[in-house]
Amino acid sequence: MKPYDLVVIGGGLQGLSTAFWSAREGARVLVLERDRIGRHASGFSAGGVRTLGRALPEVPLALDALDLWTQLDKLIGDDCGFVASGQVKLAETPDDMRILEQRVALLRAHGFEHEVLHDGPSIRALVPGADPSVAGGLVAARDGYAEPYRTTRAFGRAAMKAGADIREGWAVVGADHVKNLWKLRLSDGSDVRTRAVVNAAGAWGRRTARLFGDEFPLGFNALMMMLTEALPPFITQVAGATSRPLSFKQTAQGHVMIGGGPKGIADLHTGRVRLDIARLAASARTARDLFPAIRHAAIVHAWAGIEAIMPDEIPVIGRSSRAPDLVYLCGFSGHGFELAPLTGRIAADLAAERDMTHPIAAFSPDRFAQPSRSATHAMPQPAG
Amino acid sequence: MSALRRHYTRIIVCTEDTAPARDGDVAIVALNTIWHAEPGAVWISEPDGIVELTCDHVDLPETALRLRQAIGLVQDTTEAPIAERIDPFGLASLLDSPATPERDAQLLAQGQEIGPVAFLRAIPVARLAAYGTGQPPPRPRQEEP
Ligand SMILES: Cc1cc2nc3c(=O)[nH]c(=O)nc-3n(C[C@H](O)[C@H](O)[C@H](O)COP(=O)(O)OP(=O)(O)OC[C@H]3O[C@@H](n4cnc5c(N)ncnc54)[C@H](O)[C@@H]3O)c2cc1C
Repeated sequence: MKPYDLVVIGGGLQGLSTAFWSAREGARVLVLERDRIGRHASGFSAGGVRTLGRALPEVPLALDALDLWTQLDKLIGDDCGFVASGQVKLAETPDDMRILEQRVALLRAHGFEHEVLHDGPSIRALVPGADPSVAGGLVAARDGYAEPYRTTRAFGRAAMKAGADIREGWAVVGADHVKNLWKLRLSDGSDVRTRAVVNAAGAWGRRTARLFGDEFPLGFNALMMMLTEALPPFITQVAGATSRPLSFKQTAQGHVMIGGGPKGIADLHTGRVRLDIARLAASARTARDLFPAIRHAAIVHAWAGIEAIMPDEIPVIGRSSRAPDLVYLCGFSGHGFELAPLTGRIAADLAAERDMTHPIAAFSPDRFAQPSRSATHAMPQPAG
Repeated sequence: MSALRRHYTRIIVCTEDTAPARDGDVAIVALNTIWHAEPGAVWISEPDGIVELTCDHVDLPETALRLRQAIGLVQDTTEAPIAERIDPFGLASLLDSPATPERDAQLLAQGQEIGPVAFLRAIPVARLAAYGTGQPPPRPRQEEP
Protein backbone atom coordinates (compact mmCIF):
# COMPACT_ATOMS: atom_id res chain seq x y z
CA MET A 1 0.00 0.00 0.00
CA LYS A 2 1.19 3.50 -0.83
CA PRO A 3 2.72 5.18 2.27
CA TYR A 4 0.91 8.09 3.89
CA ASP A 5 2.43 11.57 3.81
CA LEU A 6 1.55 11.98 7.47
CA VAL A 7 0.34 9.80 10.33
CA VAL A 8 -0.95 11.69 13.36
CA ILE A 9 -0.85 9.77 16.65
CA GLY A 10 -3.78 10.90 18.81
CA GLY A 11 -7.29 12.01 17.95
CA GLY A 12 -7.57 14.88 20.42
CA LEU A 13 -8.05 18.45 19.27
CA GLN A 14 -4.33 18.94 18.59
CA GLY A 15 -4.09 15.85 16.39
CA LEU A 16 -7.31 16.57 14.53
CA SER A 17 -6.36 20.18 13.88
CA THR A 18 -3.02 18.95 12.47
CA ALA A 19 -4.86 16.46 10.26
CA PHE A 20 -7.23 19.17 9.04
CA TRP A 21 -4.45 21.61 8.05
CA SER A 22 -2.33 18.87 6.44
CA ALA A 23 -5.16 17.36 4.43
CA ARG A 24 -6.20 20.85 3.33
CA GLU A 25 -2.73 21.26 1.84
CA GLY A 26 -3.29 18.05 -0.13
CA ALA A 27 -1.34 15.60 2.04
CA ARG A 28 -2.48 11.96 2.46
CA VAL A 29 -3.18 11.87 6.17
CA LEU A 30 -4.13 9.17 8.67
CA VAL A 31 -5.10 9.82 12.31
CA LEU A 32 -4.68 6.89 14.67
CA GLU A 33 -6.65 7.22 17.91
CA ARG A 34 -6.26 4.51 20.50
CA ASP A 35 -9.63 5.19 22.08
CA ARG A 36 -12.26 7.47 20.56
CA ILE A 37 -11.77 11.01 19.31
CA GLY A 38 -12.21 13.59 22.06
CA ARG A 39 -12.19 10.86 24.73
CA HIS A 40 -9.46 12.55 26.76
CA ALA A 41 -8.44 16.15 27.59
CA SER A 42 -10.02 17.65 24.48
CA GLY A 43 -13.51 16.38 25.25
CA PHE A 44 -13.29 17.23 28.97
CA SER A 45 -11.87 20.72 28.74
CA ALA A 46 -13.60 23.73 30.25
CA GLY A 47 -13.57 25.28 26.80
CA GLY A 48 -11.83 28.50 27.84
CA VAL A 49 -10.45 30.46 24.87
CA ARG A 50 -7.93 32.57 26.73
CA THR A 51 -5.03 34.78 25.73
CA LEU A 52 -5.03 36.36 29.22
CA GLY A 53 -2.11 35.53 31.52
CA ARG A 54 -0.26 33.39 28.97
CA ALA A 55 3.39 32.47 29.28
CA LEU A 56 5.35 34.96 27.16
CA PRO A 57 6.45 32.51 24.43
CA GLU A 58 2.80 31.50 23.99
CA VAL A 59 1.45 35.03 23.59
CA PRO A 60 2.02 35.45 19.82
CA LEU A 61 0.55 31.99 19.19
CA ALA A 62 -2.43 32.58 21.49
CA LEU A 63 -3.24 35.89 19.78
CA ASP A 64 -3.12 34.39 16.29
CA ALA A 65 -5.10 31.35 17.46
CA LEU A 66 -7.77 33.72 18.78
CA ASP A 67 -8.13 35.24 15.30
CA LEU A 68 -8.77 31.72 13.97
CA TRP A 69 -11.45 31.11 16.64
CA THR A 70 -13.44 34.01 15.21
CA GLN A 71 -13.27 32.44 11.72
CA LEU A 72 -13.99 28.78 12.55
CA ASP A 73 -17.36 28.82 10.88
CA LYS A 74 -15.73 29.67 7.55
CA LEU A 75 -12.71 27.49 8.16
CA ILE A 76 -14.27 24.23 9.39
CA GLY A 77 -18.00 24.79 8.93
CA ASP A 78 -18.87 25.13 12.63
CA ASP A 79 -18.38 28.09 14.99
CA CYS A 80 -17.91 25.54 17.80
CA GLY A 81 -20.11 27.63 20.11
CA PHE A 82 -17.38 30.27 20.47
CA VAL A 83 -18.59 33.26 22.50
CA ALA A 84 -16.27 36.28 22.73
CA SER A 85 -17.33 36.99 26.30
CA GLY A 86 -14.00 38.43 27.45
CA GLN A 87 -11.81 36.98 30.18
CA VAL A 88 -11.02 38.73 33.46
CA LYS A 89 -8.39 38.09 36.13
CA LEU A 90 -9.62 39.55 39.41
CA ALA A 91 -7.34 41.06 42.06
CA GLU A 92 -8.49 40.26 45.59
CA THR A 93 -5.90 42.43 47.39
CA PRO A 94 -3.56 45.38 46.75
CA ASP A 95 -0.73 42.81 46.44
CA ASP A 96 -2.67 41.10 43.66
CA MET A 97 -3.07 44.49 41.95
CA ARG A 98 0.70 44.98 42.02
CA ILE A 99 1.16 41.57 40.36
CA LEU A 100 -1.27 42.60 37.62
CA GLU A 101 0.45 45.96 37.12
CA GLN A 102 3.80 44.17 36.70
CA ARG A 103 2.22 41.80 34.23
CA VAL A 104 0.89 44.65 32.09
CA ALA A 105 4.29 46.39 32.20
CA LEU A 106 6.00 43.16 31.05
CA LEU A 107 3.56 42.74 28.15
CA ARG A 108 3.89 46.37 27.06
CA ALA A 109 7.69 45.99 27.09
CA HIS A 110 7.23 43.18 24.56
CA GLY A 111 4.77 45.17 22.46
CA PHE A 112 1.54 43.39 23.54
CA GLU A 113 -1.55 45.48 24.31
CA HIS A 114 -4.29 42.88 24.68
CA GLU A 115 -4.45 42.80 28.50
CA VAL A 116 -5.92 45.94 30.05
CA LEU A 117 -5.76 46.88 33.74
CA HIS A 118 -8.94 48.07 35.48
CA ASP A 119 -9.16 49.59 38.97
CA GLY A 120 -11.74 48.50 41.58
CA PRO A 121 -14.71 50.70 40.51
CA SER A 122 -14.10 49.96 36.85
CA ILE A 123 -13.88 46.18 37.32
CA ARG A 124 -16.96 46.17 39.55
CA ALA A 125 -18.89 48.02 36.85
CA LEU A 126 -17.69 45.52 34.24
CA VAL A 127 -18.28 42.41 36.40
CA PRO A 128 -21.15 43.37 38.70
CA GLY A 129 -21.47 39.76 39.92
CA ALA A 130 -18.02 39.88 41.55
CA ASP A 131 -17.70 40.43 45.29
CA PRO A 132 -17.67 44.19 46.08
CA SER A 133 -14.28 43.76 47.79
CA VAL A 134 -12.38 43.08 44.53
CA ALA A 135 -9.47 45.49 44.15
CA GLY A 136 -9.32 45.53 40.34
CA GLY A 137 -8.59 43.22 37.46
CA LEU A 138 -6.97 42.50 34.15
CA VAL A 139 -9.19 42.11 31.08
CA ALA A 140 -8.68 40.51 27.67
CA ALA A 141 -11.84 41.65 25.95
CA ARG A 142 -11.65 39.42 22.84
CA ASP A 143 -11.21 36.15 24.79
CA GLY A 144 -14.13 33.84 25.55
CA TYR A 145 -15.13 30.20 25.55
CA ALA A 146 -16.40 27.46 23.25
CA GLU A 147 -17.82 23.93 23.48
CA PRO A 148 -14.97 21.44 23.84
CA TYR A 149 -16.39 18.18 22.52
CA ARG A 150 -18.25 19.92 19.71
CA THR A 151 -15.00 21.65 18.68
CA THR A 152 -13.06 18.39 18.69
CA ARG A 153 -15.71 16.65 16.60
CA ALA A 154 -15.92 19.60 14.21
CA PHE A 155 -12.17 19.52 13.53
CA GLY A 156 -12.46 15.75 13.01
CA ARG A 157 -15.25 16.21 10.46
CA ALA A 158 -13.39 19.00 8.68
CA ALA A 159 -10.24 16.84 8.51
CA MET A 160 -12.23 13.98 6.96
CA LYS A 161 -13.91 16.35 4.53
CA ALA A 162 -10.46 17.54 3.47
CA GLY A 163 -9.55 13.90 2.81
CA ALA A 164 -7.96 12.64 6.05
CA ASP A 165 -8.62 9.12 7.31
CA ILE A 166 -9.45 8.75 10.99
CA ARG A 167 -9.27 5.36 12.69
CA GLU A 168 -10.57 4.95 16.23
CA GLY A 169 -9.52 2.05 18.44
CA TRP A 170 -6.02 1.83 16.91
CA ALA A 171 -2.99 2.40 19.15
CA VAL A 172 0.52 2.90 17.90
CA VAL A 173 2.74 0.48 19.84
CA GLY A 174 6.06 0.60 18.01
CA ALA A 175 8.05 2.46 15.36
CA ASP A 176 10.95 1.69 13.01
CA HIS A 177 12.65 3.92 10.49
CA VAL A 178 13.06 1.95 7.27
CA LYS A 179 14.27 3.40 3.96
CA ASN A 180 13.33 7.01 4.78
CA LEU A 181 9.88 5.97 5.90
CA TRP A 182 8.39 5.38 9.33
CA LYS A 183 6.84 1.96 9.85
CA LEU A 184 4.40 2.24 12.73
CA ARG A 185 3.32 -0.95 14.48
CA LEU A 186 -0.30 -0.98 15.58
CA SER A 187 -2.06 -2.71 18.47
CA ASP A 188 -3.72 -5.28 16.20
CA GLY A 189 -0.37 -6.48 14.86
CA SER A 190 -0.63 -4.63 11.53
CA ASP A 191 1.55 -1.70 10.48
CA VAL A 192 1.35 1.47 8.41
CA ARG A 193 4.07 3.30 6.51
CA THR A 194 4.36 7.04 6.38
CA ARG A 195 6.79 9.73 5.35
CA ALA A 196 6.19 11.88 8.48
CA VAL A 197 4.70 11.44 11.96
CA VAL A 198 3.13 13.92 14.37
CA ASN A 199 3.00 12.76 17.97
CA ALA A 200 -0.15 14.39 19.38
CA ALA A 201 -0.75 11.79 22.08
CA GLY A 202 -1.52 14.32 24.87
CA ALA A 203 -0.73 12.99 28.34
CA TRP A 204 0.65 9.84 26.68
CA GLY A 205 3.10 11.91 24.63
CA ARG A 206 6.14 10.74 26.60
CA ARG A 207 5.23 7.08 26.22
CA THR A 208 4.79 7.59 22.52
CA ALA A 209 8.06 9.57 22.26
CA ARG A 210 9.88 6.63 23.80
CA LEU A 211 8.67 4.40 20.95
CA PHE A 212 10.85 6.61 18.73
CA GLY A 213 13.79 6.73 21.15
CA ASP A 214 13.08 10.32 22.32
CA GLU A 215 12.76 11.43 25.92
CA PHE A 216 11.39 14.57 27.63
CA PRO A 217 9.94 15.16 31.10
CA LEU A 218 6.24 15.20 30.21
CA GLY A 219 4.05 14.59 33.26
CA PHE A 220 0.29 14.51 33.67
CA ASN A 221 -2.58 15.78 35.84
CA ALA A 222 -6.22 14.97 36.43
CA LEU A 223 -7.61 18.47 36.23
CA MET A 224 -10.97 18.71 38.04
CA MET A 225 -14.02 20.82 37.20
CA MET A 226 -17.43 21.39 38.82
CA LEU A 227 -20.78 22.56 37.50
CA THR A 228 -23.56 24.17 39.52
CA GLU A 229 -27.25 23.91 38.86
CA ALA A 230 -28.67 26.62 36.56
CA LEU A 231 -28.76 30.06 38.19
CA PRO A 232 -30.15 33.40 37.02
CA PRO A 233 -27.54 35.19 34.86
CA PHE A 234 -24.98 37.16 36.89
CA ILE A 235 -21.73 37.14 34.88
CA THR A 236 -20.93 37.18 31.18
CA GLN A 237 -17.10 36.96 31.23
CA VAL A 238 -14.85 34.02 32.11
CA ALA A 239 -13.20 35.01 35.39
CA GLY A 240 -10.08 33.92 37.22
CA ALA A 241 -8.25 35.04 40.34
CA THR A 242 -4.68 36.32 40.68
CA SER A 243 -3.18 34.33 43.52
CA ARG A 244 -5.64 31.45 43.84
CA PRO A 245 -6.39 29.00 41.04
CA LEU A 246 -9.79 29.72 39.50
CA SER A 247 -11.60 29.60 36.20
CA PHE A 248 -15.26 30.57 36.49
CA LYS A 249 -17.94 31.05 33.87
CA GLN A 250 -21.71 30.94 33.52
CA THR A 251 -23.07 29.19 30.47
CA ALA A 252 -26.01 30.44 28.41
CA GLN A 253 -28.25 27.94 30.27
CA GLY A 254 -27.19 29.42 33.62
CA HIS A 255 -24.86 26.68 34.88
CA VAL A 256 -21.64 27.86 36.44
CA MET A 257 -18.47 25.97 35.55
CA ILE A 258 -15.76 26.15 38.21
CA GLY A 259 -12.22 24.90 37.82
CA GLY A 260 -8.89 26.32 36.91
CA GLY A 261 -6.41 24.23 38.75
CA PRO A 262 -7.51 21.70 41.39
CA LYS A 263 -6.22 18.25 40.57
CA GLY A 264 -7.44 14.75 41.30
CA ILE A 265 -5.53 11.57 40.59
CA ALA A 266 -5.06 10.10 37.12
CA ASP A 267 -4.21 6.58 36.05
CA LEU A 268 -2.53 6.60 32.64
CA HIS A 269 -2.89 2.82 32.26
CA THR A 270 -6.68 2.77 32.58
CA GLY A 271 -7.37 6.36 31.53
CA ARG A 272 -9.45 6.71 34.70
CA VAL A 273 -9.46 9.55 37.24
CA ARG A 274 -10.34 10.05 40.90
CA LEU A 275 -11.62 13.27 42.42
CA ASP A 276 -9.89 14.90 45.38
CA ILE A 277 -12.56 16.27 47.69
CA ALA A 278 -10.22 18.53 49.71
CA ARG A 279 -9.01 20.33 46.61
CA LEU A 280 -12.51 20.57 45.10
CA ALA A 281 -13.64 22.09 48.39
CA ALA A 282 -10.85 24.70 48.21
CA SER A 283 -12.00 25.54 44.70
CA ALA A 284 -15.58 25.93 45.95
CA ARG A 285 -14.30 28.33 48.65
CA THR A 286 -12.44 30.50 46.12
CA ALA A 287 -15.52 30.68 43.87
CA ARG A 288 -17.82 31.44 46.80
CA ASP A 289 -15.52 34.22 48.09
CA LEU A 290 -15.41 35.96 44.71
CA PHE A 291 -18.99 35.39 43.54
CA PRO A 292 -21.70 35.74 46.18
CA ALA A 293 -24.37 34.49 43.71
CA ILE A 294 -23.22 30.90 44.09
CA ARG A 295 -23.24 30.76 47.89
CA HIS A 296 -26.63 29.08 47.99
CA ALA A 297 -26.24 27.06 44.80
CA ALA A 298 -25.65 23.33 44.51
CA ILE A 299 -23.03 21.50 42.49
CA VAL A 300 -24.61 18.95 40.20
CA HIS A 301 -21.58 17.48 38.53
CA ALA A 302 -17.83 17.20 38.89
CA TRP A 303 -15.41 15.63 36.48
CA ALA A 304 -11.75 15.42 35.67
CA GLY A 305 -9.75 14.90 32.51
CA ILE A 306 -6.20 13.72 32.04
CA GLU A 307 -3.99 16.41 30.61
CA ALA A 308 -0.27 16.53 29.95
CA ILE A 309 2.00 18.99 31.69
CA MET A 310 5.63 19.92 31.23
CA PRO A 311 7.75 21.23 34.13
CA ASP A 312 7.59 24.76 32.63
CA GLU A 313 3.88 24.40 31.78
CA ILE A 314 4.31 25.20 28.11
CA PRO A 315 3.84 22.57 25.39
CA VAL A 316 6.25 20.60 23.24
CA ILE A 317 6.13 21.81 19.63
CA GLY A 318 8.95 21.00 17.28
CA ARG A 319 10.89 18.40 15.32
CA SER A 320 12.74 15.58 16.98
CA SER A 321 16.48 16.24 16.93
CA ARG A 322 16.90 12.59 15.88
CA ALA A 323 14.60 12.72 12.87
CA PRO A 324 13.24 15.80 11.08
CA ASP A 325 10.21 13.85 9.85
CA LEU A 326 9.07 13.23 13.42
CA VAL A 327 7.16 16.18 14.94
CA TYR A 328 6.03 16.65 18.52
CA LEU A 329 2.78 18.43 19.35
CA CYS A 330 2.01 17.36 22.91
CA GLY A 331 2.44 18.46 26.52
CA PHE A 332 -0.47 20.93 26.30
CA SER A 333 -1.86 21.56 29.76
CA GLY A 334 -4.81 23.63 30.99
CA HIS A 335 -4.68 26.06 28.10
CA GLY A 336 -4.12 23.86 25.02
CA PHE A 337 -7.70 24.09 23.79
CA GLU A 338 -7.31 27.73 22.81
CA LEU A 339 -4.06 27.15 20.90
CA ALA A 340 -5.21 24.14 18.87
CA PRO A 341 -6.59 25.85 15.73
CA LEU A 342 -3.13 27.39 15.18
CA THR A 343 -0.76 24.79 16.65
CA GLY A 344 -2.26 22.13 14.35
CA ARG A 345 -1.28 24.32 11.41
CA ILE A 346 2.24 24.76 12.81
CA ALA A 347 2.64 20.98 13.20
CA ALA A 348 1.33 20.42 9.67
CA ASP A 349 3.90 22.95 8.38
CA LEU A 350 6.72 21.29 10.33
CA ALA A 351 5.77 17.85 9.02
CA ALA A 352 5.69 19.11 5.43
CA GLU A 353 8.93 21.07 5.92
CA ARG A 354 7.24 24.35 5.04
CA ASP A 355 8.64 27.65 6.39
CA MET A 356 7.82 28.39 10.01
CA THR A 357 5.38 31.25 10.52
CA HIS A 358 5.77 31.52 14.31
CA PRO A 359 8.61 31.54 16.85
CA ILE A 360 8.62 28.05 18.40
CA ALA A 361 12.16 27.63 19.77
CA ALA A 362 10.88 27.93 23.37
CA PHE A 363 8.76 24.79 22.86
CA SER A 364 11.59 22.58 21.63
CA PRO A 365 11.35 18.89 22.62
CA ASP A 366 15.02 19.11 23.67
CA ARG A 367 14.75 22.12 25.92
CA PHE A 368 15.20 20.12 29.13
CA ALA A 369 18.28 18.44 27.79
CA GLN A 370 19.96 21.85 27.82
CA PRO A 371 21.82 22.74 31.03
CA SER A 372 20.12 25.94 32.27
CA ARG A 373 16.60 26.84 31.64
CA SER A 374 14.98 30.11 32.63
CA ALA A 375 11.37 30.46 33.73
CA THR A 376 9.02 31.21 30.85
CA HIS A 377 5.95 32.64 32.44
CA ALA A 378 5.03 35.55 34.53
CA MET A 379 1.75 34.34 36.00
CA PRO A 380 0.31 31.07 37.26
CA GLN A 381 -1.57 29.54 34.32
CA PRO A 382 -5.07 28.38 35.24
CA ALA A 383 -7.04 26.10 32.92
CA GLY A 384 -9.64 28.12 31.06
CA MET B 1 -14.07 18.01 64.84
CA SER B 2 -14.31 14.56 63.27
CA ALA B 3 -11.76 13.33 60.72
CA LEU B 4 -12.78 14.19 57.15
CA ARG B 5 -11.58 10.88 55.77
CA ARG B 6 -11.85 7.38 57.24
CA HIS B 7 -11.03 3.94 55.97
CA TYR B 8 -13.12 0.77 56.37
CA THR B 9 -12.55 -2.74 55.11
CA ARG B 10 -16.16 -2.94 54.05
CA ILE B 11 -18.98 -0.48 53.43
CA ILE B 12 -22.55 -1.78 53.25
CA VAL B 13 -24.99 0.50 51.46
CA CYS B 14 -28.69 0.09 52.34
CA THR B 15 -31.63 1.49 50.43
CA GLU B 16 -33.80 1.84 53.55
CA ASP B 17 -33.44 4.94 55.67
CA THR B 18 -30.85 3.08 57.72
CA ALA B 19 -29.23 4.53 60.80
CA PRO B 20 -25.54 4.80 60.03
CA ALA B 21 -23.50 2.27 61.97
CA ARG B 22 -19.79 1.69 62.32
CA ASP B 23 -18.48 -1.50 63.75
CA GLY B 24 -14.73 -1.72 63.69
CA ASP B 25 -13.86 -2.30 60.07
CA VAL B 26 -17.42 -2.16 58.70
CA ALA B 27 -19.58 0.90 58.00
CA ILE B 28 -23.27 0.78 57.16
CA VAL B 29 -24.46 3.81 55.21
CA ALA B 30 -27.85 4.78 53.81
CA LEU B 31 -28.06 5.26 50.04
CA ASN B 32 -29.76 8.62 50.49
CA THR B 33 -26.76 10.02 52.40
CA ILE B 34 -24.29 9.40 49.57
CA TRP B 35 -23.26 12.47 47.55
CA HIS B 36 -20.67 10.86 45.40
CA ALA B 37 -18.95 7.53 44.89
CA GLU B 38 -15.84 6.29 43.11
CA PRO B 39 -14.09 2.95 43.10
CA GLY B 40 -12.91 2.61 46.71
CA ALA B 41 -14.59 5.72 48.13
CA VAL B 42 -17.94 7.29 49.00
CA TRP B 43 -18.68 10.82 50.20
CA ILE B 44 -21.52 10.89 52.72
CA SER B 45 -23.42 13.42 54.82
CA GLU B 46 -22.82 13.55 58.52
CA PRO B 47 -24.24 16.10 60.94
CA ASP B 48 -21.01 18.15 60.84
CA GLY B 49 -20.57 18.04 57.06
CA ILE B 50 -19.27 15.83 54.27
CA VAL B 51 -17.04 12.88 55.15
CA GLU B 52 -15.10 10.72 52.73
CA LEU B 53 -15.11 7.00 53.55
CA THR B 54 -12.61 4.85 51.72
CA CYS B 55 -12.92 1.09 51.65
CA ASP B 56 -11.64 -2.18 50.23
CA HIS B 57 -15.13 -3.60 49.42
CA VAL B 58 -18.59 -2.13 48.94
CA ASP B 59 -21.82 -4.12 49.18
CA LEU B 60 -24.71 -2.38 47.55
CA PRO B 61 -28.14 -3.06 46.13
CA GLU B 62 -28.41 -4.37 42.53
CA THR B 63 -30.99 -1.67 41.82
CA ALA B 64 -28.72 1.28 42.65
CA LEU B 65 -27.41 1.40 39.09
CA ARG B 66 -25.71 4.79 39.07
CA LEU B 67 -24.01 4.01 42.35
CA ARG B 68 -22.91 0.61 41.07
CA GLN B 69 -21.47 2.30 38.03
CA ALA B 70 -19.74 4.98 40.08
CA ILE B 71 -18.16 2.33 42.28
CA GLY B 72 -17.00 0.55 39.14
CA LEU B 73 -19.36 -2.41 39.26
CA VAL B 74 -21.00 -1.79 35.88
CA GLN B 75 -18.07 -2.81 33.75
CA ASP B 76 -19.53 -2.73 30.28
CA THR B 77 -22.39 -1.15 28.43
CA THR B 78 -24.75 -4.10 28.80
CA GLU B 79 -26.62 -2.39 31.64
CA ALA B 80 -26.68 1.04 30.05
CA PRO B 81 -27.91 2.19 26.66
CA ILE B 82 -25.18 3.39 24.29
CA ALA B 83 -25.41 7.11 23.74
CA GLU B 84 -23.64 9.83 21.87
CA ARG B 85 -21.28 11.53 24.27
CA ILE B 86 -22.48 14.96 25.42
CA ASP B 87 -20.42 17.98 26.34
CA PRO B 88 -19.95 19.03 29.99
CA PHE B 89 -22.38 21.83 29.04
CA GLY B 90 -25.03 19.38 27.79
CA LEU B 91 -24.58 17.10 30.78
CA ALA B 92 -25.51 19.92 33.13
CA SER B 93 -28.85 20.37 31.37
CA LEU B 94 -29.46 16.63 31.56
CA LEU B 95 -28.73 16.65 35.27
CA ASP B 96 -31.32 19.32 35.97
CA SER B 97 -34.03 17.81 33.83
CA PRO B 98 -36.77 15.95 35.79
CA ALA B 99 -35.64 12.56 37.13
CA THR B 100 -37.43 10.08 34.87
CA PRO B 101 -36.31 6.51 34.10
CA GLU B 102 -35.23 7.74 30.62
CA ARG B 103 -33.14 10.53 32.08
CA ASP B 104 -31.52 8.14 34.55
CA ALA B 105 -30.77 5.69 31.72
CA GLN B 106 -29.15 8.52 29.78
CA LEU B 107 -27.09 9.53 32.80
CA LEU B 108 -25.96 5.96 33.17
CA ALA B 109 -24.92 5.89 29.53
CA GLN B 110 -23.02 9.15 29.88
CA GLY B 111 -21.34 7.77 33.00
CA GLN B 112 -19.95 4.97 30.83
CA GLU B 113 -18.48 7.64 28.57
CA ILE B 114 -17.10 10.19 30.98
CA GLY B 115 -16.10 7.97 33.89
CA PRO B 116 -17.61 7.59 37.31
CA VAL B 117 -17.31 11.16 38.41
CA ALA B 118 -20.82 12.59 38.07
CA PHE B 119 -22.26 13.36 41.50
CA LEU B 120 -25.12 11.15 42.57
CA ARG B 121 -26.85 14.05 44.28
CA ALA B 122 -26.29 17.80 44.04
CA ILE B 123 -23.96 19.07 46.77
CA PRO B 124 -24.61 22.58 48.13
CA VAL B 125 -21.58 24.82 47.51
CA ALA B 126 -21.62 25.84 51.19
CA ARG B 127 -21.41 22.22 52.31
CA LEU B 128 -18.54 21.37 50.01
CA ALA B 129 -16.76 24.61 50.93
CA ALA B 130 -16.98 23.59 54.61
CA TYR B 131 -14.81 20.52 53.92
CA GLY B 132 -11.43 21.64 55.30
CA THR B 133 -10.07 25.16 55.35
CA GLY B 134 -7.55 27.29 53.48
CA GLN B 135 -5.80 26.42 50.27
CA PRO B 136 -4.25 22.95 50.18
CA PRO B 137 -0.88 22.89 48.43
CA PRO B 138 -1.23 22.14 44.71
CA ARG B 139 -0.97 18.43 44.01
CA PRO B 140 2.36 17.80 42.31
CA ARG B 141 2.17 16.76 38.68
CA GLN B 142 2.22 13.00 38.20
CA GLU B 143 5.02 11.41 36.22
CA GLU B 144 5.76 7.97 34.84
CA PRO B 145 9.11 6.42 35.74
C1 LIG C 1 -10.72 19.44 32.95
C2 LIG C 1 -9.90 20.18 31.94
C3 LIG C 1 -10.20 21.52 31.66
C4 LIG C 1 -9.46 22.21 30.70
N1 LIG C 1 -9.82 23.50 30.39
C5 LIG C 1 -9.19 24.15 29.39
C6 LIG C 1 -9.61 25.44 29.00
O1 LIG C 1 -10.57 25.97 29.56
N2 LIG C 1 -8.95 26.07 28.00
C7 LIG C 1 -7.88 25.50 27.38
O2 LIG C 1 -7.29 26.14 26.49
N3 LIG C 1 -7.48 24.25 27.70
C8 LIG C 1 -8.11 23.57 28.70
N4 LIG C 1 -7.70 22.31 29.05
C9 LIG C 1 -6.55 21.73 28.36
C10 LIG C 1 -6.93 21.16 27.02
O3 LIG C 1 -8.07 20.35 27.14
C11 LIG C 1 -5.75 20.34 26.50
O4 LIG C 1 -4.56 21.10 26.52
C12 LIG C 1 -5.99 19.88 25.07
O5 LIG C 1 -7.28 19.34 24.91
C13 LIG C 1 -4.94 18.85 24.70
O6 LIG C 1 -5.30 18.26 23.47
P1 LIG C 1 -4.50 17.02 22.93
O7 LIG C 1 -5.05 16.70 21.60
O8 LIG C 1 -3.03 17.31 23.06
O9 LIG C 1 -4.76 15.85 24.00
P2 LIG C 1 -5.94 14.78 24.12
O10 LIG C 1 -7.26 15.37 23.88
O11 LIG C 1 -5.73 14.08 25.42
O12 LIG C 1 -5.65 13.79 22.92
C14 LIG C 1 -4.59 12.88 22.90
C15 LIG C 1 -5.12 11.58 22.31
O13 LIG C 1 -4.03 10.69 22.03
C16 LIG C 1 -4.51 9.37 22.15
N5 LIG C 1 -3.37 8.46 22.26
C17 LIG C 1 -2.49 8.36 23.28
N6 LIG C 1 -1.56 7.41 23.01
C18 LIG C 1 -1.87 6.89 21.79
C19 LIG C 1 -1.28 5.88 20.97
N7 LIG C 1 -0.17 5.22 21.36
N8 LIG C 1 -1.86 5.59 19.78
C20 LIG C 1 -2.97 6.26 19.37
N9 LIG C 1 -3.57 7.23 20.11
C21 LIG C 1 -3.02 7.55 21.31
C22 LIG C 1 -5.37 9.45 23.42
O14 LIG C 1 -6.29 8.38 23.49
C23 LIG C 1 -6.02 10.83 23.28
O15 LIG C 1 -7.33 10.74 22.73
C24 LIG C 1 -8.40 21.58 30.02
C25 LIG C 1 -8.08 20.25 30.31
C26 LIG C 1 -8.83 19.55 31.24
C27 LIG C 1 -8.49 18.12 31.51
